[in-house]
Amino acid sequence: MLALLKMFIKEYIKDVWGAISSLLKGMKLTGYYFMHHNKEAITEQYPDNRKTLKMADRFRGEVVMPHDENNEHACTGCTACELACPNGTIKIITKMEPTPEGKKKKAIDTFVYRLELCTMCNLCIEACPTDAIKMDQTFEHSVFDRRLLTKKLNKPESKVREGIE
Amino acid sequence: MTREELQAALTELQSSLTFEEGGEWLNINAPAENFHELALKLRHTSGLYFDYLFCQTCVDWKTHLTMVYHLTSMTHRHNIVVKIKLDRNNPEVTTVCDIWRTAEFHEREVYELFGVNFLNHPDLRKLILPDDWIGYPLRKDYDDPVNMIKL
Amino acid sequence: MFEEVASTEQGDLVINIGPQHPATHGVLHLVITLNGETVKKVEPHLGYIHRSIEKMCESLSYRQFIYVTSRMDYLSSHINNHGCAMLVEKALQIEIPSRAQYIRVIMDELTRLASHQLWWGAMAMDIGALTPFFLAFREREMITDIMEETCGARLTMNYMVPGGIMYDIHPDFCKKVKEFIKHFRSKIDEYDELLTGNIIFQNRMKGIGILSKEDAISYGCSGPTARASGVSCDVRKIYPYEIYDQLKFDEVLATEGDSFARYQVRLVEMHQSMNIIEQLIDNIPEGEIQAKTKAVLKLPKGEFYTRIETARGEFGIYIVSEGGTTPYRIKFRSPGFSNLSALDHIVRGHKIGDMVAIMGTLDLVIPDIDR
Repeated sequence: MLALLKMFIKEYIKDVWGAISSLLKGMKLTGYYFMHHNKEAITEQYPDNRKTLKMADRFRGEVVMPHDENNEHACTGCTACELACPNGTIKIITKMEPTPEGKKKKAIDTFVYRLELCTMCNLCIEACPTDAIKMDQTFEHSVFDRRLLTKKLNKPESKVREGIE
Repeated sequence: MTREELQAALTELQSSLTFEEGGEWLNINAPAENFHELALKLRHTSGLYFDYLFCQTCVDWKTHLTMVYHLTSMTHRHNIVVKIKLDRNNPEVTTVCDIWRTAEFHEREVYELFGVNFLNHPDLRKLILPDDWIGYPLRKDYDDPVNMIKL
Repeated sequence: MFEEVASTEQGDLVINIGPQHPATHGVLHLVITLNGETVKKVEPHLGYIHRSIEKMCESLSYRQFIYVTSRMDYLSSHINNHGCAMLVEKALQIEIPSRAQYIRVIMDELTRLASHQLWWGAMAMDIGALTPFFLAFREREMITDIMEETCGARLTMNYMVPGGIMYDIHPDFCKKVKEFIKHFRSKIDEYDELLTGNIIFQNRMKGIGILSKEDAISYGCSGPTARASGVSCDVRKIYPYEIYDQLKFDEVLATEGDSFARYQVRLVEMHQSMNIIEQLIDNIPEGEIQAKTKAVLKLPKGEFYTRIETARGEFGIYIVSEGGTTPYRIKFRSPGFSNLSALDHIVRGHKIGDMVAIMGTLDLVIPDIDR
């Protein structure tokens, strides 16, 4: 009987000791991070760090159409991106343009891009045969007026670069 | 069991079953009558022992509905697909949720999205849609001009 | 055969948890019948984030429908995309280049790691420990950075396309993954130190929420939830896809079926995922990243089913094709939906505080349940 009681007390003390030590172990780790918070902190001070903040090159922010210094782009208005888009984000309005030979040729009039519908899935960029559009790394898209989210990607008076079919 | 062995074993179980050619797994067409008995046999016959219902759904074929049960056996590792043709105007089939408990939720989902009535189901209510919803959204002729955006 | 449907008696308390409640990890609505503090019945009400993705996919082409699936189980979006791409490849019998296969598997395992890390933090927060959440997010940040650099997004990657992957890995990818593995191997010991051995945590987990093997199979549970009950259901082992049959890793099984077993299975799975990545990261073969596919994909007439092991369990995609460019009917078998159906069975008779802890170990993601 006494032996049993002794064993019980022994087990009990062992349990209590194990419990306290397991708690202390965790507290030690928390204490370590409390003392070394400068080394381990990964918090970024956004928006104060806007100037130094750099997104990854492939980050998908919004679709843009790069123009060169002659105000020329590479979009032929083939509507491949419009067909590839799952959400109806892109609408391409085409026009007929006379060529120097006197024939008429299909060309792009307006590239309408609706940012509010876009899910940044990159399928339009994959579909583009002439690499006319690309993903930009901007991410601050909030505006006060919803209409501002409907964008016209080709700049006014811009035209297709020579030699792109 | 291989496909041929399964087919032989299932024909022995119920002679009115028909089998479909092709497909990754053995496809079985079963009648809606007495389906519960067939399901019980599939679950408990040694050698078959389909104890895991991993997918249960419905397909609307415009003329009729088809319930599709994907079954697998955790001990023998073989799969079958059981299909039941249902009348589109009055789809009714006996529940299997006393055999495979997971069917309780799957059947409630099918009930509200396709309108299939599961007989003897203990708790057949709408699971996803609001209680006052009218119509069966996953049927092909469902139309909601207000909420559906067509591109 | 059924558990007697608990009737509400006088003195019972019916309370609502959710739809907006931090413990349900999303918009899940639970109607709970309580007798004192003991749970008599739990009734999930779903649909608060139901987007009818299955109906939506019926009007999307086979290239487009992949991106939607990353909105379902957003924590293992990569694996969902992978499953869909695999289904299209299986139906069209496209052989994908081995470089793409290696990268796909590495990405899958990284996603699994990130998902389990988030689960670890969120589950600890459910039972009232706040620190693990921050520790888990610190390590998870490294993975999301790797993903962002290579895939271009942190959560909804859409990196898989039918036939391979969208673009090649970033030049720094291998270096960063190796750095991460080395770093995380030391940090995962901290996880053990902080939580696993903790006496309060153990008392709240051990013997709580027991799910027997028979019930786990009957309820269609899969993933770590079922494996903790002793059900061998790892799709990577049983029906190997890509290059999993050439890899050395163990299927993590436990027999207890309680909350602590579910916890430990996921923790050991993190080690296994790191082992898999270490086997692959130095041996990525050179070559193509995409097989040649037609611009417009048309699946042959018939029915196709693919399954894949996500962080939560078996994710299945069932497509009925009529031979056109869009699926006739598509069904997503989501692991969370089946795991949730077992919740009522598990928590009956437990205290309400334990219910939240049990839900934490089930690792539910609500958009995955609702679809």
